[in-house]
Amino acid sequence: MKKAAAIAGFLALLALLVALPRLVSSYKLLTYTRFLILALMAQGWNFIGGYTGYAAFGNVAYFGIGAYTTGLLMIGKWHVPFFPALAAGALLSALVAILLGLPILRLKGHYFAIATLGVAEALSQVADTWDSVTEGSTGIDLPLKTEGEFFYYTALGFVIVGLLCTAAFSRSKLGNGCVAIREDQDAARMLGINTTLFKVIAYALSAVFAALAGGLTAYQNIHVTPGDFFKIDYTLQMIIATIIGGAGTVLGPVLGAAVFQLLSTYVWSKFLELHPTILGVIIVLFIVFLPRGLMTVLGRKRQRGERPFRMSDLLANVRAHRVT
Amino acid sequence: MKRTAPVALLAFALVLGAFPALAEDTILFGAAVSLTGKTAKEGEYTRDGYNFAVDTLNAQGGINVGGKKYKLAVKYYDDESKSESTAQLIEKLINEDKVTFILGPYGSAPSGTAAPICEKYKIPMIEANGSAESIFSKGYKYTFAVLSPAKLYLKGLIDLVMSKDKSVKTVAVLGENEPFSKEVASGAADYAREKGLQVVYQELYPTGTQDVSALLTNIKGKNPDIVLGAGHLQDSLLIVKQAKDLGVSPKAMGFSVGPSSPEFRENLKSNADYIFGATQWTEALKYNGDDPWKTPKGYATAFRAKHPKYGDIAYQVAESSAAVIAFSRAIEKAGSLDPAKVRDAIAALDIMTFYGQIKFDSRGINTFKPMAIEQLQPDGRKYTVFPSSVAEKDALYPMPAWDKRK
Amino acid sequence: MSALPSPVPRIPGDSILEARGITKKFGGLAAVDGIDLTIRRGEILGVIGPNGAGKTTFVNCMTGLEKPTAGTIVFNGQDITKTPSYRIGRLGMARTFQVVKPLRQLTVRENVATGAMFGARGSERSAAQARHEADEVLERVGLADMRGRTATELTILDLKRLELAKALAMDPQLLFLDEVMAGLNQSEIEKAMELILRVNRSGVTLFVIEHVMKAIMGISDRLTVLHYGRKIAEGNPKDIVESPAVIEAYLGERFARRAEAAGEENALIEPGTFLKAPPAPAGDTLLEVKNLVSGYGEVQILRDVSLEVKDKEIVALIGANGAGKTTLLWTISQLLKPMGGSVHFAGRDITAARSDEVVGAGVVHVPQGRRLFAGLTVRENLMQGVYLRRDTERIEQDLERIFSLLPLLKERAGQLAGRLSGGEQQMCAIGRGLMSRPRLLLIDELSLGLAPLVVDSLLDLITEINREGTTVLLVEQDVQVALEHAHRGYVLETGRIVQTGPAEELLDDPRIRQAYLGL
Repeated sequence: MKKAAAIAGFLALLALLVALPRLVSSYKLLTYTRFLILALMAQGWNFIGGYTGYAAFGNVAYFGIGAYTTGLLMIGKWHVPFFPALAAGALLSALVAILLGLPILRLKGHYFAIATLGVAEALSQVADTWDSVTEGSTGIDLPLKTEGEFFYYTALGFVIVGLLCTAAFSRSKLGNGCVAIREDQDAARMLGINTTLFKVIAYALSAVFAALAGGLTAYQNIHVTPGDFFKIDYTLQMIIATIIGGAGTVLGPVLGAAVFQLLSTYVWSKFLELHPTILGVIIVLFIVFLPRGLMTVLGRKRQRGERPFRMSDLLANVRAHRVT
Repeated sequence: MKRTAPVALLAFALVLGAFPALAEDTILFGAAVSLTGKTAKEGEYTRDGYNFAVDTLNAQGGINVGGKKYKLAVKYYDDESKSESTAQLIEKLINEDKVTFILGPYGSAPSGTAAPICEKYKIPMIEANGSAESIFSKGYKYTFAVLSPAKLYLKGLIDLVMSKDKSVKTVAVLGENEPFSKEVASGAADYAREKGLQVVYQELYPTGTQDVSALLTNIKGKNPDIVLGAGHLQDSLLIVKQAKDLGVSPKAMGFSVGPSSPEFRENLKSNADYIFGATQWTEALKYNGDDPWKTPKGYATAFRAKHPKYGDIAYQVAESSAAVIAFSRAIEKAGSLDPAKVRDAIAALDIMTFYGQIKFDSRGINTFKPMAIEQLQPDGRKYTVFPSSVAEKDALYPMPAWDKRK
Repeated sequence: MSALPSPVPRIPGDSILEARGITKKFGGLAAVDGIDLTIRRGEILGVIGPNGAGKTTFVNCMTGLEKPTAGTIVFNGQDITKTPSYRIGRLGMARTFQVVKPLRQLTVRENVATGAMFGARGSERSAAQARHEADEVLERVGLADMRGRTATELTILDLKRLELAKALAMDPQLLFLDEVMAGLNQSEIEKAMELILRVNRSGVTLFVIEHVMKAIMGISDRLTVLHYGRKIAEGNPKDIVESPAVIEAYLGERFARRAEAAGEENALIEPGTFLKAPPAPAGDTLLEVKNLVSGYGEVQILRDVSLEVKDKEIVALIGANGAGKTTLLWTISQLLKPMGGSVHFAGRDITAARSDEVVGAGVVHVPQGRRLFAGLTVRENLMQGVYLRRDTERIEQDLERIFSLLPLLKERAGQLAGRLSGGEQQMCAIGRGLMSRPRLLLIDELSLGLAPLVVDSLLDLITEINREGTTVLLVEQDVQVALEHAHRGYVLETGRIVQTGPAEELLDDPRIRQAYLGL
């Protein structure tokens, strides 16, 4: 019974999401598309940051690679259609992630974080100075496409695929191994887990998702510059969305992206000039009071039987993580 | 005290969030400008310029459309200095706020993302702060810019020097690796070649550079007659200082950005003498236009009366006001609020204003207004020296060599 | 206790693991120095040796976590010296960690399933089958009730069980157990022994490192003794504990002399060349601990401890590993907040005071492992001790005094603390403690990882300091050494004081051997 209700609910939600473009203005649709693209990036970050526990601070690098590869293939002498170009971007990102991951995934903690930051910065410099290919700081212009539904449905499709991938990942040996690495790398090695291989796979997966988001954003924005597509804002957004929702959970990144987008849209429409400050304060409150994300509050029900969400759970969480 | 904070915040939210109460006969413009982020200051100039023009026109009773008087109002959003937000906000303005006329954002990149949205909905946009060619090379029909394009920034300077000295032959161009400056630099180099000058050096340096001595040493070896710089204030300061240290002494030295701001003189003291700077507009220009203020002086006086905190009036303020003037004139001419008709009226517009001539070429860019050139002179003041017809004073030329000065 | 299955029949000479010439150097120091070791198929090989003997490093080398500097390892006839650790797990070797390494955020079941997924038979199982397998292993180790709990919710005993279950789920042929019993109480130790025997009877060869002598004697087929990275003895457990070399290495030099002189009263009290504490002064009570209860999270370590230290006394606190000595010191200095009971210092209640207030009152703690600031020089480290002092003019004077007591530190004053040898670091840590002009000095594991000679000179220093008026509460594993230099002693066992008295009386007490060695 419960299961049937859950499936019915899920199908209803899916139907609503599919029908959405007919129901809302194209501005709202753009907002939803932004949310989906953020969710996609967060889903990617969740593999390396959430499940494997590596604080990757440079995933915007793969966002940028995806954007540039997609864009460059679509223009110039090739005129590759969008989807093959996007796939090429994702593939190239995965390749770069594997090659870079092998050395930098040996680093731990903040050293890894700094190395990934460096990677993003270096790639941004490459895009900025490789004039003959990337047109440097001027950037490249993609063919114009203004149909909002196209971007919405594409992003929705990717996010659904992302959810299925994450669900499969979390049940697989690969996912289990990555979590073991997050919890204790030495223990993981002694349990027979090829830590290097697993970390690189998780990192490459995160790069693929970031690249898909980057290529999609590039086509939507039509103009790709190093300044816009290699900025740390994207990395921070995907991390914040994942953490708000619940790192290392299947639904967390999507939920977090929804909350983040909702909050920022709301705050922004209410406070014209102070909104970055207010949004910042809200994010800090989220992280102080729910350091392990919304999914852990909702997820308790699953772990401990039939307990529904209660305010006391939330308060207990607050107390347990109070800064003393 | 503690109580007042939330109350003040709430009040603030209400003031800012509330939709301007609109009477039936009000024309609502929409604008997404950067009020936070890295170009917040310029965004504020833009907003002040828009508001000042709107208030002035409203104080005169509004504008006349088909025999009916309309007041003007602007709905603002903050794009956070992020060009990807601009597209979203323009969508919101058009879809949710039902705005039919768009005033442009601050900067080339946001203008570039706003343009296709306006195109999609066939809503005209006049922008005042994005002069990159890339926006206007795509064949958009609904996007117009009142300011001179980046390519023309240093054109006036070359014209000025050539009118003073028929013997100049060589030019060196230095540019910051950043979209706007790149266009300024390549535009200047192209124009120099077109005029028969030899471009002996043309190089880009990275944004935020701390040292250009290697480039200047190279330039010194070529001994050019003119040295042109396209970058930002800090770069201009650096180039002048290091040029003095290295003894790079061309006959004329000029920058696209820098000399027009007061910090340039404060920083360089007498070393700033003889340096030329390009600017879209100065209050010393002798235009005489058909608008509420007529002359740059008139505009400046009226603006300062309303905003006493402003010292120098940034050209961004003036060009933003000019965009509103251009829009209102086009609406009046169209005699209709229909976006397509207004668009055609804008395309056909040819008016003289306090800001200079406003007329758009087939791409929608105002190539008819010249860039003004200012020069810092040894009396410690800054004079508008070009175009000659509207200049305050004659330019001092050539620039004496660094070691020949008192 | 149910009957154990009978031992697996053994083929003589059939070895499962052959290690030859294993050496592991860290910097210039050899933690393991040319060890040859054979593990016979089906046996339980017990391994003992003092702290720092290289036992854990040896296991790290065997399991690929550290690459040996020299030597070869052959497992089941295959050279695995250069095999990466994850593949060693798949070959059929597993281990537990001395400091437990659970996968904290995961449930007990998920923890064990991870072992089943990637262990020797992991490739035969799907993820779901591995979870099923985990349930069976949990049943075996008695953790089935806990399968849904996350690892963070477990007690120390259950964490040790989990550590074992994870390893067992890997279907190992050879299992290394690194101090699985440390911190367990007597009855828990007995349960653990039974479990280990069961595991062995099911066909798993065991390599067991343990400090609990009673346990290791009870389960080992053979016993190996490591000391300073070398193997100093190997053979039948009974013979080994009576071997003078082992007593000397493991129980201390003087303890060995004492054992040799068993029966000859006079030989026991021979003072040797060491400084001895002067007769105990009849001072006032300086430190009074009453009914103290303490621990970490839900794990109770101290269960009702009372003791007192009089002014100008040296008091030794002795007891086995995991008895709660360190916890007691941490609780006294309020780095750990007590769960019950009280601590009074110089008549003042310091229970739950801030740790800086405790230091201000004159209680200074020299923690185990020294905790020096490795990036600062020796002088800078010493000056950290004056943080709370206001009499600036006397600080320079005190520094000179410490340099005169510890001339080696004066030579090294400009060196980075991280570059010092172990003994020098310990001196520096004590010097730093003295710089705060304590009334009471708490020293945790004075001899940990130190050569006997260094220990002797540090003990002389403590006697010297005490003569100058500082009261000392000393935690030390080497019972003989500790008691020889103290006025009084307390024996701590599984979180309780089980015995107390003047140091000389305790030295003569056969029960001390039991408390310390479990013999």
